[in-house]
Amino acid sequence: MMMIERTIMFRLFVSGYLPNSAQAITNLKNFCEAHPSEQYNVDVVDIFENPDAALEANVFMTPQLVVLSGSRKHVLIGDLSDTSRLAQLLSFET
Amino acid sequence: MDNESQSDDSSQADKIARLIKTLHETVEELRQLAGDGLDTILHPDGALYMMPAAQAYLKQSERIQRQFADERAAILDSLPAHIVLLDEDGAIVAVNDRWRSHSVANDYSGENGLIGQNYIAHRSRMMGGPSEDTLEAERGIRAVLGGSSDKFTMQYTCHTPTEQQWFSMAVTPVKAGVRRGAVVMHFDVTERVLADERANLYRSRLERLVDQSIVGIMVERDGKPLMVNPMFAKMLGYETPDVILSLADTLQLFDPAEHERLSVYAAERRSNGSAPDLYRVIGKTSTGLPITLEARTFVIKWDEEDAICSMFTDLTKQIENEDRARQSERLQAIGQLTGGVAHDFNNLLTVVLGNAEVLSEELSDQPRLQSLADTTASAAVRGAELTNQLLAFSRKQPLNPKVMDVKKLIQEMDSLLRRTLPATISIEIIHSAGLWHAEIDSGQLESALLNLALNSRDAMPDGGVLTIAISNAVLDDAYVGHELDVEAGQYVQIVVTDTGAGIAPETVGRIFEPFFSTKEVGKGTGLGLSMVYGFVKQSGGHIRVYSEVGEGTSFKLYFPRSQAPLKDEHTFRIEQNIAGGRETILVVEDNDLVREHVVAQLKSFGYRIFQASAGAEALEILQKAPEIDLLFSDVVIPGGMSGRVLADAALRLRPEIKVLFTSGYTENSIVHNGILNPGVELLSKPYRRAELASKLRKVLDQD
Repeated sequence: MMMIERTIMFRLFVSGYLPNSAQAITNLKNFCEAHPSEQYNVDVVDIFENPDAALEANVFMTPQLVVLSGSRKHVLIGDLSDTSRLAQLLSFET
Repeated sequence: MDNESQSDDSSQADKIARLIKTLHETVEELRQLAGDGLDTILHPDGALYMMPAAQAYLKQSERIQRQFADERAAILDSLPAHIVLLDEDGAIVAVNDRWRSHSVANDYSGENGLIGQNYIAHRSRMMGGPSEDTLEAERGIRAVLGGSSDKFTMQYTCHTPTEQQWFSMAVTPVKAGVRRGAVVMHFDVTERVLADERANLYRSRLERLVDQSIVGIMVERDGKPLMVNPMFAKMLGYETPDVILSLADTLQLFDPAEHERLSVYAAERRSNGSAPDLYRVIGKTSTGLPITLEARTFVIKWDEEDAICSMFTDLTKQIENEDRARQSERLQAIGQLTGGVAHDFNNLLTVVLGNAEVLSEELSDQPRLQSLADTTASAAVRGAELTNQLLAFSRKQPLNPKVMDVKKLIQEMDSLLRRTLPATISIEIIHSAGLWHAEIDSGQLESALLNLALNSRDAMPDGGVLTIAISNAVLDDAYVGHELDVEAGQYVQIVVTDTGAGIAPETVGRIFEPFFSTKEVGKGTGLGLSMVYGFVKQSGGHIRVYSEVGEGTSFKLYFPRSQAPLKDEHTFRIEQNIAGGRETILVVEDNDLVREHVVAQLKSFGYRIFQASAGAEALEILQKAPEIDLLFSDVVIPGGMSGRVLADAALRLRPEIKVLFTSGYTENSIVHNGILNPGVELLSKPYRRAELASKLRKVLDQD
């Protein structure tokens, strides 16, 4: 698998503009901008508006980030303030 | 509260307290597992639990939202406008208080301010259906809603049940999250519009006042015209004020010396305000002619700075009228003077003529002396003619007017005129149909026309055309308005025009003065036109002269129309052979010389004579001498009794008595406006012997 063609899928489940959810969106956006060498596909799901999508994805709390990278799936809970965890997760993958 | 339920509730409360404890411990456990970064927890059945921090945040933000909403509403309500918020389809989603009360006041519908209804449709309905205005508004609002325009404003009026109101509408786009819409503000501008209308009305009235003023108005600063009204332009012969306004200086509008004077005034006005505010000034018309203006000048604030405003009246007409009045007064004064002199001369000439004629008869056997007496008589006759012209001028000659056909008289004069004028002058008599009649002394009219013809002859030494045109003329108030001596009405107009040398403007004003003549000494008496003038005035008419040097002169004579029927004219001719009589005559004459002369003449005719020098004396004689057939009296006799009063007394005493008056001066009790009272016989002094004889016979022979 060629690195260059890899697209990282982020699915971030949030609850409207509640503080941790808003913080998670901001942190994820900052992370993407800080690592521009990768291609990202970001999907933010508001469970206030779309609760079914959360249940289907077995998501039971917000904010929660689901990372799909290739065939692997990772889950991060919280406002993503500790971006090193996300970086670690992705670099482990590479 | 009762005791039973208290015991039930207490066990429930204990249970709830336990559960809450468990819940709290569960939340704490979750927090330890997932950290403080959680917002919500979702149960597979769809139930949603919020972490305490998230709940606190929501409460706080709700409070803030509510506060924002309150503030927004307060702001909207305090704005002096009727405000509606529209969604992108134009439906009303929110309104402010003013809009709400406006809708209620205008009975739009209920108290919700039409929320939910489509604003554009509502507006169109309220404005009475589609019109240019409503369509424009609709287009504008849709453009803002559609995002193609940032702002739309328009002013419109609408009639509420009680009054007419004007609104200014402003539509601006709003964006609430992802939703688009527009806010529409309606400001009531009725007060402003009405004030504008009042101001416009006031301004247009002022403009009309200035534009249509019959006073010329100019505002200038340092000689530069700033405002000029049409009348001022018109006075100076400019079609519009534009030419004057384009001038850098008023120098072109005034005589140079006058302009200098105005500059001095302006300087004085600036420094100490001592310049006159009412003065005369000579303006200069567009063709360079002088025009006398009366100016009223004052300082006025013009665009925040001092300027000079002058209001001008054209005095040309007034000066003309004043000149004419002065001239007419002068003619009147001269008339009084000459009238008095002529009267005295007539008395003297009566004696001279009478005596000369007696002498001539007595000297029939001494031809040399007789011819001297004849020369004396003819000189006296010539003198009498002159004094008669003077009397005519002074309007004191006795006139004997009759209703006459002017055209007929003038046609009859044709041969006389042809004999009098040289063959080089052709005579044309023109008359229109349906000519009116006038009451004129035909003999005097003949003399007047002859005088004018002779003047024309002298003006055309090399020949030309003399035209006499007769027509009807109606002088209306507009024409008469600026003429001092004319009354409006219907006139018979006689215009005598020649193609002669014309009269210079400086002399034209004096031609009616007696003894004023432009002819060589000895060629004219200077009385011809004076006689014409006096005669026309005495006849209730007026005369005008128009002349162009080198072109000719036109005299226009106006005689008032007479509605009375034409009378058959009995021309009375003096019998040349003297017829005397045997009747008894009472002669009343205060002048001894004249009385003696008259008595001698009457005796020579064969009459028996009584004589008196005053009225009282005459009455005594009348009482004593019943044989008196005729009273021959001067009109003016001393002793407090006029000839008329004497005659009236005599007639009361002796109703069958005949009366003949004589006078050299007839402005008195038997003459009203110089015209003989009907039935009164008058013999004008001086008279010829034959005239005296025949007049006496005529009166004596009356029934």
